[in-house]
Formats: sequence, structure tokens, C-alpha cells
Amino acid sequence: MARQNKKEFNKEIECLLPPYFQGILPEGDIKKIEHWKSLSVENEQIFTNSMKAWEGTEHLKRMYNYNVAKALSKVNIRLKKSGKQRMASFLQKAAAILILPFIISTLYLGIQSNTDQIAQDISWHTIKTPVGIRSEYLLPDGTKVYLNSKSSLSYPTNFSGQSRKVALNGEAYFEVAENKNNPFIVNTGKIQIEVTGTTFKASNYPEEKLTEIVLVSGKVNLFQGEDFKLNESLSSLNPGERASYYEDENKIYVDKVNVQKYISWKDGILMFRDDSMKEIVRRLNRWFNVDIQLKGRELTDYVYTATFEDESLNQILELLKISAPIDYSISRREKRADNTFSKMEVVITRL
Amino acid sequence: MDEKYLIEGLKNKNRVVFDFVFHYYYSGLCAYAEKIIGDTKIVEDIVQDLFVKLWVKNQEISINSNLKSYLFSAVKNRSLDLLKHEKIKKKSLKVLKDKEKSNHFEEFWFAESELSRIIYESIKKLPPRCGEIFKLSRFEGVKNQQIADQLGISKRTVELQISNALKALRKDLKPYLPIFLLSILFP
Repeated sequence: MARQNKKEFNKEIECLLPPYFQGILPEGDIKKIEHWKSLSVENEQIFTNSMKAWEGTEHLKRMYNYNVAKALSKVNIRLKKSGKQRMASFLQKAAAILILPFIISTLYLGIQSNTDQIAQDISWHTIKTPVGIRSEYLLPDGTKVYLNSKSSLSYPTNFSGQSRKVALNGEAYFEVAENKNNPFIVNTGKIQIEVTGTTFKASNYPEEKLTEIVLVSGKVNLFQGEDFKLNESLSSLNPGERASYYEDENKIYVDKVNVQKYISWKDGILMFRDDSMKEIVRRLNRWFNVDIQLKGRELTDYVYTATFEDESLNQILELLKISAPIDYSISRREKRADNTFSKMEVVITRL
Repeated sequence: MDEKYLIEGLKNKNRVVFDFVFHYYYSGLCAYAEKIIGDTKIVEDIVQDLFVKLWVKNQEISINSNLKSYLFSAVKNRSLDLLKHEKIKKKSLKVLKDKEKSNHFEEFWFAESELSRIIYESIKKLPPRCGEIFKLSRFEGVKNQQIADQLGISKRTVELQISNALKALRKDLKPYLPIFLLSILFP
């Protein structure tokens, strides 16, 4: 009986503890706690441990109040002022993009009729990047294109004429040469992008069933179908906005994003801003042409912010390991029968 | 945790490592300084100064083995120095002496991701409702009455759930937050 009462009493007191730590408990109840504490060492212990736990959550709340990104940019400004050290180091590590020679526009010249300009069969040039390599091209009209790994861009041989149409597979960043009379149109398969002069990136990796367009400056119109004039614009973007088209839903979502994160790859920088482990793996796979697998569903809860410039995959994995309870193993690449090598496989596991 | 790679990186002015360390420890260091000083205003300056120094004087700094203890001790010393300076003005030296005597500040050597992992793993084990109520109350600052209205339960149930959650947390957090003084909690 007495035991039961004690249990009830303890429960009642524990209920008073949260408001006590919050400092909103009435005077009378505070006395109750004091009294209960003095009854036994055990009670005293419960009280102390509860307070620690409460203070633990309080401490975490304190951390939430600090804006790391803002602070880092402040520090960066100070570092730049304090000397050139940081800049020098930045240049040392300048992006290692592999720049392939500009494609000569006659390289893949298809069969073209000399006289019959009405010919409907347009021949196309295609430029391609191998996996794990990014490259930079200049199109005949002066438009600059950065192609990300495992991407291709096609354009008609008569490109510089009336229409500036290109077709994209994969991911590219465009700096479109301005020409008000001849709009530049990117066909990403599901979505067409119409621009006059602007910078933006577009991607449509088929395995992801997602087309993404991020506008850096200028303006773009998005539409479906063959001809922009005949089709109603689906959406237009302002600088700093991203359009995501999901094939499965046949819908476009527009939101504001940190543009830098989406285009830094063109400078050889791999940037993560509050990205999930899943997203990081997706991008590392493409970047390094590897096959990373996540084992353990809880891994997807971790969010990372980091910027990588010339780190190797191993170094990046080491950094991830430091900041989350994970480990990884790398399997050897195997030589296939045709003398090619299998992809490097990495398995990330939760500890 | 093998921090050799990070320490080497800082010494060699590796920007990626610097950014990484900054992201990883910044909020934890600020909260820690706030804990010691009891004021939020100068906290960010203290921590940012430390990082600027870390970069500019990369060659002179000797971090023997543990980066984490280097950073937290540095913030602790800077914070206590500042308090000393302040206290001379305010003449309440006693509190400061208590603070200086205690090494118990080390209980707060947490990076945000570390502490949140410990706490959220504990919350995850709670019944979902209970965890949800605790999070609303502690981290989103929703009043008990509002939580009750929102979830269609009594205020008493909300209070009960919060105390249940605290009970579970106190058992889980025990190994992480071993000792610290009441005087620090209620200065």
C-alpha cells in the first residue's frame, strides 16, 4: 500500500518537473518538490538527472539560434581583408575542369543537300561527355555550354540560322549569347526552354524522371510541344528560381533556391547545402562515376553542408564518416571479359 | 574520432576542411560560450575571432591531438577572460570564481549534430504521440494549452506526456551529461 502511494507520489512530482525547469511552477508546488527531494538520495538523483536532460534540450535549442552560413560568410569577408592567404590558396586549388577542345562545327557534318534548303531532314552535331568528366563548349552562335558528366547536347548543323534549337540529355549550364530575334530553345525531352539571352542550368537525367531548370539571370519560358508560339507557356522563371518537372505527375513546381549549389559543378566544385545523405550519394555517384549504396534506412536522416573542390572520393567519405556514425567499405573494381572495368562500389553503413 | 586529417588540413589552409570544421562546430561553440557568459551578444564575435585566428595564424597554432578540445578550451578561455573584464566593472567576483574553479563546462562540449543525435535518438524510442508532444513543446515553443487544442486532448495529458518524455530522456542522457553544478544552471 505504502509502496503504491510512493509510486503515485513520484509520478505526481515528475509531472511538476518540466514546469519547474521552465520556471512557471507556482510557489506551493516548488515547496513540494523541495520536500520530495529531501526525502531520499534516490529522489535527489532523479531530480538531478532530469535537470541534466532538460538542460541538454535547452542547450540544443541554444545552438539552433545560430546561423552558420551567415557567420561563415562574415568570417570569409574578414579573411579576405586580413590578407591574400585565403585567396592564394583558393587559386592553388582552382577547379580542375577538364576542358576539351571546342568542337569544330564541321566535325560531324552529316549529309546535307547543297541546293534543297527545304529538306526536312536536319542533321545534328552531338557533343558528349564521358562519365566523371565535365567539359566546356562554345556553340557557333557564341553561346557557352558547360556539360556535366554523362551528358550530351545535340544541335542542328544549320544552327546559326533562324532557329537556335538544341537538345539536352543530362545536365548542362548555358550562357546564352543574346539575340532577341532568334530565341534559343533547349529541348530536354519533356520540357522545352525558350530564352533570348540568359544564364541557367538544366538537367534531365532519365533515370530520375525529373527535369530541373535553375535560372541564374535573365528570364526563361518553359513550354511543352514542338513550337513555342503555338503552345502556351507552362511557367516562366525569375532569377534564383528553380522549376522541377516530375514526369510521373506531369507537374511543374517552382521554388526559390540557393543557385550556387546547382551550378557550382561547372567550376569543379561539389556543393552540399542541407542535403540529405540520399542526395549526396546521388551526386557523388555521378561525379565520381561510382556506385554507392546506403545500408540502413536511418542513414537518410542525416543532413550535410559541405563544399568540396578537389577532394578525392576517399577524402570526402572520410569527412562524412567524421560527422555521422557511419562507416564505408570499397570493393575492388573487377575486370570484365571485354577488358573494361566494373564501377567502383562503395557501401556506406550505419555504425 | 581521428582528427589528424582535419588538423593537417587546417594547417595547410585547406578551404574545404576549414569550412567543414566551421559548419560542424560553430553553433556548438556559440552555445557553449553563451552558457558561460550568460549573454548572446558577444558570443558570435568570440567564436568568429577564433576561426579567423585559426586561419591566419595557421602555422603558429599547435593542436596536439584533439581538435574538439582545442576549440572548446579556446572558447572557454576567451569567454572567461571576457567575464573577468566585465566582472571588474560589475564587482560580482564570486560567481566568476565559482565558474573558474569548475571544470564542469566540459559537459557542454557538443557539436550540434552530436547533441541532436543523442536527444533525437532518445525521442525516437518514445511512443510517437509522446515524442511529437515533447518536440512541439521543447523545440517549437508551443504552449501546452495550444498543443492540447491542436491534438484534441486535455492539457493534463500533454503535461503527463512531457514528463514521460523527460523521464525517458533522463535515463538515456545520463551517460552523456554526467556532472555539472547547480550554480552553473542557475547563476
